[in-house]
Amino acid sequence: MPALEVVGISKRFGGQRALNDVSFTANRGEVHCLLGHNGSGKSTLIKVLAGFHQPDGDGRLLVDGASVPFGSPVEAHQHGLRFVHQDLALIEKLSVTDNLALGGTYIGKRWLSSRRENRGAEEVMRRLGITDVPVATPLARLSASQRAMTAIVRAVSQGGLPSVLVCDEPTASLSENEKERLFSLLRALRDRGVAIIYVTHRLHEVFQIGDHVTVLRDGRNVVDSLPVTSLDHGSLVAAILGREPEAFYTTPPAPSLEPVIEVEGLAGERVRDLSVTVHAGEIVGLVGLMGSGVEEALPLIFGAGATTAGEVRVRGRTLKPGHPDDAVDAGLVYVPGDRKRLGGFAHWPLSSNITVSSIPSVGPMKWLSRRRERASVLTYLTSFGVMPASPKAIFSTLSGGNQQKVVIARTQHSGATAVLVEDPTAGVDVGAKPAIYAALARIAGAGGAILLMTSDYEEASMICDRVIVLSAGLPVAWLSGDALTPDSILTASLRAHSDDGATADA
Amino acid sequence: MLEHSLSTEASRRAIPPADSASASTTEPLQPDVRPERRRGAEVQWSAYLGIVIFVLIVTTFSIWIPDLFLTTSNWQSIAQTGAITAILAVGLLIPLSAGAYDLSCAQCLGFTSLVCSWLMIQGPRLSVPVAIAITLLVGLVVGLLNGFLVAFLRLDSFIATLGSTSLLLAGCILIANSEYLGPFPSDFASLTSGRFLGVPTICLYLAALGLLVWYVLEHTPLGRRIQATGANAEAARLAGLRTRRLIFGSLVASAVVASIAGILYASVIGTTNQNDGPPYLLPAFTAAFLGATQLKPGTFNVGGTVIAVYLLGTGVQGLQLIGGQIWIVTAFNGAALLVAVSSAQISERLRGDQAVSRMLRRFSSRSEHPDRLEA
Ligand SMILES: Nc1ncnc2c1ncn2[C@@H]1O[C@H](COP(=O)(O)OP(=O)(O)OP(=O)(O)O)[C@@H](O)[C@H]1O
Ligand SMILES: [Mg+2]
Repeated sequence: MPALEVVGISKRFGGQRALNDVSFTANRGEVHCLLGHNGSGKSTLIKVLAGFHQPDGDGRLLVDGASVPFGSPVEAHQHGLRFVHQDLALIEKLSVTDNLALGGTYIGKRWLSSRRENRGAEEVMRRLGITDVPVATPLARLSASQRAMTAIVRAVSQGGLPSVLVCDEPTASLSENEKERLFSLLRALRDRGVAIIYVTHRLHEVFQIGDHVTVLRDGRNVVDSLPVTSLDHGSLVAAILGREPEAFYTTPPAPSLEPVIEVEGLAGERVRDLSVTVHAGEIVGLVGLMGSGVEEALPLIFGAGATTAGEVRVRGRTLKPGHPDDAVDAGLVYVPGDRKRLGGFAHWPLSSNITVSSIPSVGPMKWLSRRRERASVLTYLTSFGVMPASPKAIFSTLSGGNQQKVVIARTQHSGATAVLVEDPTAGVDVGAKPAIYAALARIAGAGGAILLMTSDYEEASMICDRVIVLSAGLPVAWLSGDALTPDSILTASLRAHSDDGATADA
Repeated sequence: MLEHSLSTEASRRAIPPADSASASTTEPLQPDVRPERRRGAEVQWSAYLGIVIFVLIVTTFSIWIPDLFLTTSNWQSIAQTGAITAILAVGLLIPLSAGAYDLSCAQCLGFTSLVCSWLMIQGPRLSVPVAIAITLLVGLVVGLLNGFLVAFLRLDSFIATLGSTSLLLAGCILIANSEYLGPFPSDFASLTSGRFLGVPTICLYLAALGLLVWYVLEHTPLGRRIQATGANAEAARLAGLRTRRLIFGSLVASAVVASIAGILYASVIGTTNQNDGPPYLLPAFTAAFLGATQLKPGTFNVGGTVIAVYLLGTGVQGLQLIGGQIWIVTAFNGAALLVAVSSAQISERLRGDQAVSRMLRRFSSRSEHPDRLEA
């Protein structure tokens, strides 16, 4: 008997079909990968399973053979469905401990002792092999990866082992070795008989962890529960995009020695002594494991963090620390990794989201014409393949990957020539990644400079001219040329990490 | 130490079809044309509910008490009474749009009306223009104080302006000492006396200020930046907006508008007293929030606010004319706000949009909820 059986589910939003007669089955003890381009309906399907959306028409949902009524999160939970949503659904102001407790319960029944609760939460985390998430810290102060961990732990730690665990892009912001920890956790759950539905845009993960694959395209399932072994990378891409993948090249810019972004001896909370120079035409990558300070680096350079030492210059102009506006004036922009929280204006239309850094106006009276504004963003929407490509669409109704594209489009619209960007393609589908790479390459090609923080080492090796590996707040390896491969980055960061453990921590 | 061979790497920029890149960089992914959202059938009916109710109220009273309600003097009275509240509320929209409360705006109205009176008839007995100029400066100082507390000391705007309200109240008592100030020189009264095409002069001030705030807030980059600050302050800061300066400026603007309202109030009423300000607080906030459910749901907007003021004002006036007791009038105000906000939320839920709910959530609980229904 399959653990999860989805039969004929459809869902419309206004005139738009998000799901069109979707069916698939997942068995206990398997990782079932759910794939599809941005906006193909993956998250919508998951929200239907979770009881957040009521599907149209008469679909059915069966867990372990028992029919689950739609539209009730409580029923879904009682039938043993657990979820890690794309936006994690955690409460920012509360600590990790409280977030874990909200899914299940506190240890104390009448009297809450924070010490006891925190110790309990640490214990839960430790059993799942997670030791570096400070449980007493409010979520808002944790990195995206630590938050993702918290969400996953919350899902699996409430009320016994679930029948089905659904993860919507849990690895979007995790780097290779953090992912490995997550994978071993998922494998352990799988071996204990949990059916895991796993959504991702990183196709190589499918071969690392997947057993079966279902692919959605435009709300329809085009691949229904095929074993991974019968597929390869190329056929997956073809199934997702509905066409053959094409090669993508850009002309390399003429090398230049003109420094654009200069960072000297920068230090903050985790970053200890960071010096980087990015020249005109260059894309420089910054990678590191969780806790290496890499998450703090770009905000610090941008002036949005707490700088304790060092200096940043953009085209020779020294930036005022603590003043992102000064950085923007100097022509530097920052695309934060946490686009949900820091990137977008949720209930604004796409047009206003794209123009916010450089709002257009007409005449000396600064009249802001909405019509012109909308017209001016159309080219950005289409060139990044945002779906729907309508300037009036509300940001929060877009699929996760499409929200990313909108925030990146803002960078282009502002005409910035020095860009700090975190995980530019996290959550973006294989068909749309080239558009984002092309945009970055275009900025570099026109004499701009890009400093890229990424957790996707393949991406780093592919689009960066140089990659700097951070560990314990210090740059420890510089990779370029033929030495720059996904494996060399991984090796360098792991080695740095273990060296670090041996010398600094022990 | 980082300057490695640049030239050898330049060729790396050739991106292989590794993670299966495809070159569809210029066309949207899906060929099928999807209809644009929020059009036609999806018009939010509750956004115009205010206008409908306004018409209903007018019709009801016109039929019920035509000889009392359908008179020029009645309309002028409604227009005049509403104008002060509307001016105050329109000023209040500015900090609200930036995500800051200005609880002191009503007390600022009361305080500046006393300051102006005192300057003209008790203290230095200044001429009217000089007294007005100084009063506006006083309003500016109040705004600077609020702005300083909120934007630079980073106090919560709710607390900071609550504190400055008390300070202003103390100032009022000091000046008025429980007495009425007045009457004022005739050229002061003539600021707001008379009519223009049958419309009381004070409404022209409202029209001018309303247009100005509408223009700036809803149709300039500056206004957009103010709204960005209110919508997501951290995202706005990272987009390079000077959010602290915007909040500072918005609080200054609302205090200056409140002092204009104070001057006009003194001129209309003819006497001033230490208790004049506070009664405006609730109506101004009610109008701003009710207004945010109208015309552009989820956004504080001038049009909706003015509609809200006059909707409430007309209803109240009608109720008073049929001999309604004070409590009916007060209950009407509360009920109108609740009906407007809940109908906006219900109609949003039906459409699956959340603009008003989000705005209110931002202002009510002041804590973040997990927004589970969004991708
Ligand atoms: N609340 C909503 N209102 C209107 N349209 C919506 C809403 N939620 C989703 N959609 C639309 O439904 C479609 C499917 O979105 P969904 O979030 O399921 O995509 P997805 O497959 O999860 O994509 P991604 O990989 O980018 O996360 C999209 O076109 C999206 O714009
Ligand atoms: Mg999604």
